[in-house]
Amino acid sequence: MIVRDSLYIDGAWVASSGSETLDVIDSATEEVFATIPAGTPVDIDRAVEAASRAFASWAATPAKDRGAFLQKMADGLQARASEVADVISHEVGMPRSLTETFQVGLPIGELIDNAARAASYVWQEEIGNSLVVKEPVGVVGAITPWNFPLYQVVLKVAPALAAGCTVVLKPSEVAPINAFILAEIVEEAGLPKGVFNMVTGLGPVVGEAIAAHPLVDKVSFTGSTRAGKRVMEICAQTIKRVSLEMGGKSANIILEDADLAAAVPAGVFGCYLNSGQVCSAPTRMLVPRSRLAEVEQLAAAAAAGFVPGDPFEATTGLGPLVSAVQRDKVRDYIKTGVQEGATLVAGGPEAPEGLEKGFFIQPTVFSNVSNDMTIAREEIFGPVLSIIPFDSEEEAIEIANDTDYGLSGGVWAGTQEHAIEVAQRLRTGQVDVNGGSFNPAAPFGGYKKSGIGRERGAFGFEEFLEVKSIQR
Amino acid sequence: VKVHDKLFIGGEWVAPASNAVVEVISPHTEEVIARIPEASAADVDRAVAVARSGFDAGEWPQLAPEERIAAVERFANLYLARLGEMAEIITEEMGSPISFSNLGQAPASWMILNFRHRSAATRHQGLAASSAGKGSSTTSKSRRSSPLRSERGRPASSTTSRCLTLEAEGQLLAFLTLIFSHSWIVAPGKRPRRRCYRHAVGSQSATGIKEVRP
Repeated sequence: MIVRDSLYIDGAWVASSGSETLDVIDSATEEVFATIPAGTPVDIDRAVEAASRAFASWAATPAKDRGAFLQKMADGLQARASEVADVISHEVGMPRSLTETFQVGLPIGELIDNAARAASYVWQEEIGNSLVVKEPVGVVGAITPWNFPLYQVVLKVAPALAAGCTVVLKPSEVAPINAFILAEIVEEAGLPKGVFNMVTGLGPVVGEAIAAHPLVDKVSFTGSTRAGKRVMEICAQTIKRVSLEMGGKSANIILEDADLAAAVPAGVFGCYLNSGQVCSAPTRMLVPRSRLAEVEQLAAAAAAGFVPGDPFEATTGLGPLVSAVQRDKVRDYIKTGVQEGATLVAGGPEAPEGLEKGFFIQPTVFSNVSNDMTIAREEIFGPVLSIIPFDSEEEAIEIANDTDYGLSGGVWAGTQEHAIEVAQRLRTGQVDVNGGSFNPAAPFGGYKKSGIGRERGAFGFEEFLEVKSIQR
Repeated sequence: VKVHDKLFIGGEWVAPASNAVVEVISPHTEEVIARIPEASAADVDRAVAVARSGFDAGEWPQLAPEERIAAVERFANLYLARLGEMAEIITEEMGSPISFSNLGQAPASWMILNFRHRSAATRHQGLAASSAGKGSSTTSKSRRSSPLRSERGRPASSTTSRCLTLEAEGQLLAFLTLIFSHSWIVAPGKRPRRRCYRHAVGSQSATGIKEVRP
């Protein structure tokens, strides 16, 4: 068992002011896999004060030198990629065959990207007689979730450090061990003390202490819409800048002239990646009513390919959910779907055969879902696809936009032009057309209740800047 | 005492939900100079509902950029015709010396109206040019148009060429700002030569503007 008994504050591993610890559970075995300190508001105070002291000199460090530190972090992470991938598969349950690419490769890419951006960014421009300068926003509080635990951490920490901000990180207490490794990598990379600090603990305790702290200038949060609202509410008291990346209920519109044989399996894959624990998952598949039977068959066949099992088994397509809480919540949603009259095409609320231990859920497909059903409105965060029939393209667009969320989406059509036309009418932050591939440099973030601000690439970097106009 | 008893909602002057009023007090005479409706949550609900449906289902977001630009241009011109009136009202309401209201408070809004629609025009022209370069096929298509399709689908307007370039606009703004601050600091008590100034901005002529220099 892994025992982590200290926090990373002001360039040193220190004990928490409290003595409580939290258990980290292996999602496939339900056993305690690690313990971590349950940090306190006093710990946050120390971390924020260290970050605040370190800010001026880090902000004044030449940007290319800051970039060089990030490159060292990328190298450090690369050297421990396999170890980190193992840890995340235990924590989150993602099949180990995918973890190294998704959970470690993406963070490495983000670090390298920000290292380069720090060196090449144009920090000032002229507008008439004004010199407009970009400056780091200050001390950043980063609060991150468990589903892509390290990527979500790095999506905040890398651009914040590159921009010249100092950071207090609160990683998810459900999947925190990868963040301890990152802190070790920071230490080895030799970042000045106080530039990066990490305090583990519970959201209502340490997360709220970060949001409330007067010396924190900005909070960048990824997590549930409920928790994000709370963060924003607390940040309002001190007028902190906030970036929020939250829930989704994204629509994947498959139009009459689309290639169903390609579109449906790709849509199922998108919905089931990481056992559906992805905020941008395309969980509502919108299809022409006339093709419903065909789509159901294709979706059921695709779902059958996602064999649940031990994430460390090479043949496993679908790992467990992260926790008992999450599993029970998803089971309840599946039961609700049945009660509300959706047609169960594949899966169901029972544990998959032979997998009573571990937080497993059957890959589930509902059809004949109407957009007012609970399973079409609420984020399930499990491998549950809702197929919703439509009668016209206009209706499909209306259904797609009829949601509180607006994080992601998809459109499949006979031509790119047609698909892009429809994509432009969706009120959502990202749309993949005809299976367009993931682009880590493209801005990612939400319309509506999915959030405020953007992460990744240049847009994500600029979230950590203030703008100052100097008139001459 | 000026009495305004209507709110502007959904393109019309409408009676407010309640009879409550707010009195506007002159900061220099302490007299009531106007009465306006004290809108209620019900009025805000109506206004937000029409703004919401105007955005979700209305014409405005779907309009081609040139059409939106033309509307802002009409707005700017109508505003310009009432510049003096606006300056006086602002002075009455919040006490800004009339010299500054004439040279700063009132024309600043006009400048923003102009600046905004011209930069939109410039951006639009850039978009249209890049789309033409790609040989976009979206031009021939359909009735219901998305915002971007409109931008691509229509030829670049001549609005931009009629306007000052952005750079010239920037210089004009900088120049006017200088004049404002100068006249405000140097001659706060003086009546500005408003007629002359109006002529100057009306004709958008740099030489005309120079005439207002104290």
